[in-house]
Amino acid sequence: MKLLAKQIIKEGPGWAKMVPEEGEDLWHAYNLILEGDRVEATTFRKVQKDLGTGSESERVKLKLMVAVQGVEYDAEGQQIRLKGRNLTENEHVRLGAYHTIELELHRAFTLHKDVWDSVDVERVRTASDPAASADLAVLLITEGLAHLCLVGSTCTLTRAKVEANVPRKRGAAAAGYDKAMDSFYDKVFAAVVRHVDWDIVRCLVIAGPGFAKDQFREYLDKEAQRRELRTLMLNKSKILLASASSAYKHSIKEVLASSVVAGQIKDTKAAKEVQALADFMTMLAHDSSRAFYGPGHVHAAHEMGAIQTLLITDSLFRTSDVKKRKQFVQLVDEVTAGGGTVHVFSGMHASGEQLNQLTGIAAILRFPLPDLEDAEFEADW
Amino acid sequence: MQGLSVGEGERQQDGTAAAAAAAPSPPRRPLSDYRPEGELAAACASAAAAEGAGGGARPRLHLVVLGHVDAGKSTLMGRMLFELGLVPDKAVHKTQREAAASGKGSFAWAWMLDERPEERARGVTVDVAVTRFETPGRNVTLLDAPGHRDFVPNMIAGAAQADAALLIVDGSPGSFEAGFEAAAPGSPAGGGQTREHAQLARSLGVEQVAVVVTKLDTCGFSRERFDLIRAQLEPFLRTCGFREAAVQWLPAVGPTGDNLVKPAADPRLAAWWRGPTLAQAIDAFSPTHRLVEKPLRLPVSDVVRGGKAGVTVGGKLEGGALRVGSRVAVMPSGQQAAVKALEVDGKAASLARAGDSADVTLAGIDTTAVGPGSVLCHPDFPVPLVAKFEARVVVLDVAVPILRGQQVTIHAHTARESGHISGLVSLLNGKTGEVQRARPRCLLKGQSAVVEVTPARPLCLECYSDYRALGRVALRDGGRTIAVGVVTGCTPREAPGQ
Repeated sequence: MKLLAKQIIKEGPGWAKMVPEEGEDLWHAYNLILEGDRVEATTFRKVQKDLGTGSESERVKLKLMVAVQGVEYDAEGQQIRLKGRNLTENEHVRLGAYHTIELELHRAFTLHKDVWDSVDVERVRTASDPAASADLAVLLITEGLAHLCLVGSTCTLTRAKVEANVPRKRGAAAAGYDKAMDSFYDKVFAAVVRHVDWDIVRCLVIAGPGFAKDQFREYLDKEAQRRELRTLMLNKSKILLASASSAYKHSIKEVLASSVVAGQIKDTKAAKEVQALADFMTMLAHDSSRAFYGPGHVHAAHEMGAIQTLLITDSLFRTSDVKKRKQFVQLVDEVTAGGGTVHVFSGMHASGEQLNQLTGIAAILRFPLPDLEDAEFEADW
Repeated sequence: MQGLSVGEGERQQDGTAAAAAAAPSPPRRPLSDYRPEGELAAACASAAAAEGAGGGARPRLHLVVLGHVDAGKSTLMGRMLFELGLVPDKAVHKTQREAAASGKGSFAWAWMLDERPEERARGVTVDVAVTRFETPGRNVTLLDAPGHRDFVPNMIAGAAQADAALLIVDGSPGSFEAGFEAAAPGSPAGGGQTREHAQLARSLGVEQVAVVVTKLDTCGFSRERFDLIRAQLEPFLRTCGFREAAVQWLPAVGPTGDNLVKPAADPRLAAWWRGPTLAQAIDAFSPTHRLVEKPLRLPVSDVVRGGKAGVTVGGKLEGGALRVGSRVAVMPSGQQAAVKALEVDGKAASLARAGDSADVTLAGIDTTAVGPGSVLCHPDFPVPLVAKFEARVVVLDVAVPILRGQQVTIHAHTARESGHISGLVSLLNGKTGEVQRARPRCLLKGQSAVVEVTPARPLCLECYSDYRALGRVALRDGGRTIAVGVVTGCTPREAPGQ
């Protein structure tokens, strides 16, 4: 995200002018813009032109500021739709009329907020920090199923999903097996060529159970030679093999935790999140009175100053309930002030998705709180 | 979360499921209303009588071969086929020449079953091989399963169809221990497959098992080794739920064929082994009851041929019966089709009853609407399509405790689907089964509990009490089986407008 200009007072009002450059920047914008904020951007409006002989509508390009009431994020279409009331005086759109601004890549927008809390400021910092992004392409493949995913710094996007019916029978259908596998590998090959952009992708990891990954690697090299695809041949060294237990999307966690890939991605957000969640699970296995999840339990542990590591997903900050959001932001500030570490998980990563299903908030404590285990909190469920 | 997957799949599962949703699904009639049609029932009764009279047709048995990788499963069964005279000598010499040529002479027998090129190249069974043979007392459908840890999902599809199992245990020093070691808690490495296969088989409905100890020739056929292995394995099998009487024990040697059909020829083994041969052990398995009185259920294990002439699918009939011309509903797509041709044991047949493995050619359906995991059902009693289900499960060796949101692969009959555990409903007392604690925080190894599971796409499932064969589930993640159990409640998919 390119930060053109900003004038922000911490915990106070301010504005920031930004240009989203890649898919993830829209995810950052989605987490920044909340109900009640004001966004100014160039947008299009269908306006009725009456030419005496009847009216015909025309799309007019104009700059509007809207008081946001609804934010819609479209991961696949790379777009955000902001629904709200118009605040700019102009001849085409009445004051207070409803208008939807579409934020797209390479289109600047200015965000005005009444309160920029620490989470927002941190979000703007990481969004505009170019070093943070380390794109890793992961191809999960087994017989008849493949997922091609792009692991960015804050988003894991599934670029392609290929499914095929591969006959498993022997004897008569064996001939059918080779033909079906080749057509399956061919579809996966086409997806890799189209979606893996070797300029931004550091390496392509082919992972999965059994031998499908090795066979596809041979197929990839053979086809690259046959079709003389220079980019593929040049980047052969960037293709790694790793093991994973299945080709389903959630097995990407195993690839990110595997030693094969560690060198490439050790400092990225995705790897740190997988590690933090793994630490939480291991602590729960060894000493369950030092690992808690659910807002009720975590707040109770926080009151005793017990939180060593806080795991929280960004989805929790997107609630429309301002009081709840302030509560979570305050929790984050106090834990960091108290020397604890805070991991803000991205809901678009596999580990973030899993934490979201686990109430979205969890904590590893400095010391055990056995009596907290039996406490029931309505807020949890 | 937002729909993340850009579907480029050849198999538009979502597309066809949506088409089915448009057609108003008939209200589900309870299974108890089902009465087999007149002539179908008559045909089944006459076939059962023929089988009972002991004429040509022997009772059928689906036998799955399980065990840790390289325990010698395929070699043993390849030699068994030869001992039963089902393999012409010409084929034996050809395979032995090919195996010796590529430097894998000792795999000659295994290649009878491992026909796929990468299986032969790597010397590991990848997928379940289905062959048939007859022992004096049984007509056996053999399912030679893979032992490698990565291919447990294929093994599950095989074990789900089995009535009985052979658990092959490598008797050579160190190998038995490797296959039987439990998963160390906390470490990512899972346990041995002797352990995992036994637990899985029991939970998938296999109640009878024969433990075959192989490679005893490496330790001079010592009786102490055999008894030591039995002493360690027997209590474990009891904890898995196998009754003492349902477990048989015997030694055997694949490459030489000792104690397979003919009693042991090797003097060192013959000196102390008086027990049954493998063939006698197979005859000792009691055949299972054929569920002909229930509506038709045929979980599809694979699609043999697709094309304009109709789609041929293979699988085992778990219930009901099929004749050429019967109409079937293909779930989860919901489309109806007619049976054009029927093959049982590789021979054309006019009738296939519960308990038979059959290749069914369907007319009036396109290849993308059916695949492994689909179920052919009676048109008026289709299997429910489940959006969410509750299951009573036992937690096996898990690296970390199971929490809500745990992402899993769901295995049921021949179907497999990704999904997640959407709720820990209650913790149960292992012995009595009563609820110990509602909404537990997490589930640890060995505990039994009721959990709610949400598959990524609707799944064909039945409650265990209604239809046992389609009511058993196994949950796996990270290359391990984390829990096995039975379905106690199904939430059918809300067809829009319902």
